[in-house]
Amino acid sequence: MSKEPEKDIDYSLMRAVQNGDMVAFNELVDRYKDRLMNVIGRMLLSRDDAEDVVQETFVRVYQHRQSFNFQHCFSTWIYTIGLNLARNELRKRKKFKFYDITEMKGNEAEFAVEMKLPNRLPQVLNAAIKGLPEKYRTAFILRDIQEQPYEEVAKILSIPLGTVKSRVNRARMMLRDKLQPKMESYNALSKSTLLPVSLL
Amino acid sequence: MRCRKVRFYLSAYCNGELSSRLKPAVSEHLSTCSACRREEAVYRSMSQANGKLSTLTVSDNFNGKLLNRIAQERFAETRTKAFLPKRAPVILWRQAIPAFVTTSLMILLAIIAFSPKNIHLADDIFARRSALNDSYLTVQPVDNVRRTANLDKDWSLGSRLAWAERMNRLSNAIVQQGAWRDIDRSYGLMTASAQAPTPVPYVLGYYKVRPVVRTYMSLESPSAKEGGRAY
Repeated sequence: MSKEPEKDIDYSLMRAVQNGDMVAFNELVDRYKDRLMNVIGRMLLSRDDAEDVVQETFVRVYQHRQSFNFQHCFSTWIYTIGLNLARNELRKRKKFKFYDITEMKGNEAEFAVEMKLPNRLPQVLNAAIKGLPEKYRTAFILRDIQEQPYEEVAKILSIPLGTVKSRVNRARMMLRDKLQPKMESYNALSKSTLLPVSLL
Repeated sequence: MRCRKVRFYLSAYCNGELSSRLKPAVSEHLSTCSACRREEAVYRSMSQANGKLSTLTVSDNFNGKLLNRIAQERFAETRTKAFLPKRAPVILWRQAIPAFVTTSLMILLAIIAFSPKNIHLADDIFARRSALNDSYLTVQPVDNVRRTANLDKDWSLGSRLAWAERMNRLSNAIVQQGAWRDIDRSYGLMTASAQAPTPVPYVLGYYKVRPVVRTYMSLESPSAKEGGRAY
């Protein structure tokens, strides 16, 4: 329901951008920069790379502002550009493999996270999302984290609606498979101790 | 409904996406199956955790950096629109020398052609092309026989060939009867052809080199009968 005014605001801003209004463009950037960062940041894992891709996305939006079709949603357009750029970045990474030194000391951090599972569930979930295959991860992020409707996800990813639903479902099942053993072992541990959970 | 089917629908059930037709069946199964309830709990905690996931944000100076890049883009666009070159054009001597030589040659030729000594050349060229040329108003000397012959309104190839044939026969007869000696004596023009004692076969281009014979026989030529046109 709140989608329609959002759409109209995007359209009016985009019209102003097409007429060379930089204030409107700045406003458009403010509206979308965090949403894009939320998706692309989870796709690329590295914050700096994600920020570069978000910047490149806005540059592309500016370059091709005249070719924007007002029959489509602006958010769909910008997400499509951003995700395509992110995919290109991922493809580049396959050729040159980079190692992050912060990821090397992962084991003890993960253990500490698991010991405080209820409080740290979002972090554990985040790590599990990072482990998903790319196509499931994209669909899951757009649907469950960005809370985009299935129809729009289908448009952004240029795949049929049924495929989106099945990918999201599959991603959820994969996450459940990863999280369930950890949660159950935590529950068993907390039941065997007499200490209250909050002290752990 | 069996566990396997319920687990397939469970994530949609927990996110409120299941159709009203399937919902009661899944709820009914969950009330009886503890294993599926455990899964449901995992899904519920997952969907709660989704909402609590930290929001990734861009750095504070993101807008500044982006607007700098956009400014560069705008500059590039303006430069393209104004057709300004990206760098100063470099002229290579290798490319410049032929152009220089050609230009100087053309200037030299122009000086020679339009110099006061040769000015009549240019005059001639301009006079021929000039619209003020009124030579058509006066009778001009005929300088092209073939063209004049073609302009004759009664001209036809058959008559010309017949006339040529007749001429050929006559000239052969003259040569055979020895009359050529009289011609030679009276006009002094047949000296070259008089050297040939044998009859000459008819060749299309033959009369071109024997105009004197045509002049001699002009009284009998078809054009002479018509209006006395002499070549």
